[in-house]
Amino acid sequence: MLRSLWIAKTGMDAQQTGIDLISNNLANSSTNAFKKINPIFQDLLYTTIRAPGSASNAQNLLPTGLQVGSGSAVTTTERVNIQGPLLNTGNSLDIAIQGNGYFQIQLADGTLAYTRNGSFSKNATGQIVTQDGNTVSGAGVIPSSATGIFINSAGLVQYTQQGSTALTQAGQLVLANFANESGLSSIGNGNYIPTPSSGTAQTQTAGTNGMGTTNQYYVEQSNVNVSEELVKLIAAQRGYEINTRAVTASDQILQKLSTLGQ
Amino acid sequence: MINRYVYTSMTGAKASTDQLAVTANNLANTQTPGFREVVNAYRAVPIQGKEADTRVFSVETTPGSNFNSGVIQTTGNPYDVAIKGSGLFAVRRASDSSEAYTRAGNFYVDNTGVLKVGNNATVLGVGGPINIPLGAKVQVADDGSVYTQIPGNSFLNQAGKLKIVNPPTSQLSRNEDGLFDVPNGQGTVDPNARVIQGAVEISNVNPSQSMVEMISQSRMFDLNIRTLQSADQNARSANELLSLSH
Repeated sequence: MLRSLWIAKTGMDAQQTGIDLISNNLANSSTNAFKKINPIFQDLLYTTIRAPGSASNAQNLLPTGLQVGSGSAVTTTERVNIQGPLLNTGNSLDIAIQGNGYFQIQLADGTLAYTRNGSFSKNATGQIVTQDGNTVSGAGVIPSSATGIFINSAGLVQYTQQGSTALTQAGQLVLANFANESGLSSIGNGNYIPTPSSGTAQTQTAGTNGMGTTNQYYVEQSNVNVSEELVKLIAAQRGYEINTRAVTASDQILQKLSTLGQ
Repeated sequence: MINRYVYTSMTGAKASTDQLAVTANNLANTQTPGFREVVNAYRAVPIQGKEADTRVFSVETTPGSNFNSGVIQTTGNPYDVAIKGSGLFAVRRASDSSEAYTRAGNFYVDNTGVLKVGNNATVLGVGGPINIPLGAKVQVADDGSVYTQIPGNSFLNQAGKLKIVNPPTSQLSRNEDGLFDVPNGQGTVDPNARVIQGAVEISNVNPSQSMVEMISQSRMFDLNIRTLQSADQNARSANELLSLSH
């Protein structure tokens, strides 16, 4: 059948995927530490129907060939890891990373995952956990008798007790970095796991070797720019419509062909 | 026997559907970073025989690409680099390690920190691939020099300089993977090329122009179908004349 019909279909598919990603970004514009995800459009393979210089007939050579592409596709999605704005919450267990790095957390099944969302709480035993109840690596246990919790820029977790100004160390947050952050696989709830394309986790102390610093009383907000997403939505929607026009044009050609010779 | 101009009309109808495929591909790639519009044209192929030349067939060709600059979209992503004016980034294909050229500047790093673009193609610097150290911030100067800085460290390290070539566009041919080649040669580095960091150049397809082309291709198809039908009609009338049963 007509090439143009299928080419326009790939364009519609790609734009639809783009709209899916934009709506996910918009839905997460208030999610702590959410990183926007952009579609990466790419042109698909080209078919050389006639190469330049091939014979058109016994006498002539074609000066130019015919190359037809096969459309476009969203080949990859790219997480844009730029810093989200920091919001002061006043909550002593809200910690934002300013700069590179991820908090290391332990999931219920024991595997290690990584997150930028530092909105933590304590569980029944005083352990510092994420909002889903996963333990934060290195954070330690805060006893119920603690009167104040202090976390410095290097991720050191300390607390004071009644009638004393002495600081007791509970632990030190483990921060990890990756060669290719965009290659991390998102497992939902703001948690990521390493993949072969992200490289293995390199754990370091906050504030050293390019690692970001930890900021107590702050959460990192989503880095989605709503106006940018809305403009992208308009472009994607019109892009979709234009491709449907190409489908219509191809359809009309097929209609004419099917009634030919009647 | 049907008049042979039906075949001339057929080539016209076929060429217009081929051209519609090229236009549909341009329209499908209005959001593809660095995509260059495929230019198409009809070519006349005269039928030469013993007698007077009466028929000229039509063939669709894609003589080249439109290398005008596309829309530059600011993204704020430090790995996005757009070329101001003409020029192309040199990359190395993952498939056969050959050098190719592209306008797409939406770079990323792989798991070993090597700067890549598109379908796993390595971005080439003047001195080879560019490595981004773990945790470094990337700054791209306007001459294409890539600097990396470990946060908290005042030392700025030059990781490389993007290899930007500027061959005459007539020398560039599109490979089947969408990257450009300079057949039988390589592009030379253009020292005057300038880039912008945090922006990406998207496609240079003009949707309004492509839509008009699409309408014109549809009508050209209609027109050829009309002449094809008229040839059919003539042949039917002739057959009816010859028929003895009426």
